[in-house]
Amino acid sequence: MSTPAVQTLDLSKFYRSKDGSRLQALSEISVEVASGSVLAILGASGCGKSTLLRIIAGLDSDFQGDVRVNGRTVTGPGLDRGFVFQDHRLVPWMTVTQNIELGLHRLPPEVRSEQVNRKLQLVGLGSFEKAYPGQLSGGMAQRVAIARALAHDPDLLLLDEPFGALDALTRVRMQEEIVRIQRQENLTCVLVTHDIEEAIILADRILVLSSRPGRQLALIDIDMPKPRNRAAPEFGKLRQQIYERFFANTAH
Amino acid sequence: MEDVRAEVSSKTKKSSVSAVLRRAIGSDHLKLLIPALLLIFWQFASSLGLVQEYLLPSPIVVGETFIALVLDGSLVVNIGISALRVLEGFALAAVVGLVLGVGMGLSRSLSVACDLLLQIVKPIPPIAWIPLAILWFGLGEVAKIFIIFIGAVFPILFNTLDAIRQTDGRYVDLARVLEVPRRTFVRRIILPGALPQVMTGLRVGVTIAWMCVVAAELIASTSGVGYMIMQARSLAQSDVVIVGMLVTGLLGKLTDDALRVLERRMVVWREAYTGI
Repeated sequence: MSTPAVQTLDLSKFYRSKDGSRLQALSEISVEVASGSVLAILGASGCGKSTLLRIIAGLDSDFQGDVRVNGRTVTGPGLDRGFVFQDHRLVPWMTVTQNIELGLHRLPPEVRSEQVNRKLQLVGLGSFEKAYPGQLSGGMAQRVAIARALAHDPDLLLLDEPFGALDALTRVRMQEEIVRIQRQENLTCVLVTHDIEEAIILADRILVLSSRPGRQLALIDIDMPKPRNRAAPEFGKLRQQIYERFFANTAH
Repeated sequence: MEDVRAEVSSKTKKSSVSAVLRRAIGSDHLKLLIPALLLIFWQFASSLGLVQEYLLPSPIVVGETFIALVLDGSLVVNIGISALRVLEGFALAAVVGLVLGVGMGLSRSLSVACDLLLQIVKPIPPIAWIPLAILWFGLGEVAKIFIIFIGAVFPILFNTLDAIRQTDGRYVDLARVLEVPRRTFVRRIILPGALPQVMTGLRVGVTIAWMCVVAAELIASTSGVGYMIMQARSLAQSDVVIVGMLVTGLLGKLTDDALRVLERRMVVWREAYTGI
C-alpha cells in the first residue's frame, strides 16, 4: 500500500488554562487520509477540529504524537499544503492577482500570471484579476481564497470551515465547486466542518470527534459516487444516522 | 458566471446613487453656508457699531488690507518665507518620524528602548523649546525649523508606530501558511495596511507645522507671517493681524488637502465612511 497523504499517530493536544491546570483539546487521534481522497473532520464547536487542522498545517507545533504529510513529519507550515481559512483572509489592498501571487514567490515572475490565470479559471473567476477584495461578494472572495491556496500546486488542501461565513445558497454552490475541483485536480483534502450534510457531500471518509476533549468517535467511509445527490434517500438516511448516533444527545 | 458579474455592477451602482444624493443636497454649497453667515453677522456687527473698529475691523476692511498687502508684496514675501520653513521642518519631521516609526513598529526592542524618552519629550509643548532653540541655533532659520520639527515629528511617529502595530494578526498565519518571506510581508502587507493611518499622522503633522512656524516667528523672527502678525500688533493694526491669521489657516488647510488627495490616490482599495 502506498504512503497515505496524511497520517496522524496518537495525536494529543493540551492547553494550559489561566488557573494553571491542563485542558485536553485533542486525545489520541490516529487517522489516515489516502492520496486523492477527502477526509472531513466533523464535530460540534469546541471539539478541537480546527486545532487538528492547524496541527496538520504546521501552524500549531505544541502537541504530542506524530503527524506526517506524504510520509514526512510535519515540523512547520509549508507550500506542500494549501490552507483555506474560514474567513477568506484576502488582503484588502492587494488585487485578486496580487493575493493569489502571495504564495508564488518561489516561481519566476514571468510564469506567475499564467499560473494565477489558470487557478482563477479553475475556481470559475476568469475576469476578476484586477478587482479588489472589497468589490467581491462573499462567495467570490472565498473562490479567490481557494485559488490562492491552490496557486502553488500543493499536494494537500486544508479547509477550515471554509463556507461557514456564507449564506446557505452560496454554501451549497461552493460545496459543489469543491467537489468538482477536487475531482478535476485529483486533490487530497482535509476539511473541517460542523455540518453533517457538508461532510457527506464532500468526504470519502468522515472522522467524527467528541467534544472536550476531541476524541475519535468514529471513522465513516462513504461509498456513494460523486457528485452526490442531497435528495437521494440513502443520503438522508446517512445524515440521520450520523446525527442520531453522535449528536442528538449531546448537551450544549 | 453572469450572476456574479451582476453582483459586481450593483455594488458600483450603489456608490453612484449616493453621489447623486450628495449632489442634490449640494454639499459644495453647504460647506460655504456657515462661513458666509458668520461673515454677514460680523459685517453687520461692525456696521452697526457693536464692536469697536480697533478691536475687530469689519470684513470689508480686512479684505481691503489683504489686497493692499498682496499689492505691496509684503504678504507674498512673508508667506513664502513661512511656507519654506514649514516645508523644511515638515520634511525633516516626516523623514525622522516615518523611519523611526516604521523601525519601532517592526522592532519590539527598538520601541522598548525609545519609548520612555519619547513619551516624556512628547508632551513638552514646542513653544517651550523656543528659548533653548534660540540659545542653540540663534535667531536664524535653523531655530524655526527645529521648533517645527519638534511639533510635527511626534504625531507622524506615533501614528506610524500605531498603524504598524494595528496590523491584523490573522495575516501572520496567512504569511506562515504561504511561507511569505519576512521582507515581502513587511512590504506588501504591513506597510500598505499602515498607509491610511500614516497619512493621518502626516496630515496632523503638517497642521502642527503651521502652528509652530507662526509661534516661532511671533517670538523670535524678523520675517514670516508670524513676524507680520507680531509687528502689526505693536502698531495696533488688528486688520493685518487678522489677515495673517486667516492666511495661516488657509495655507494649513491647503497643505492638508494636498495630503488628502495624495492619500486618496494611494489608498484606492478602501471605501471610506463619509458620514450620513
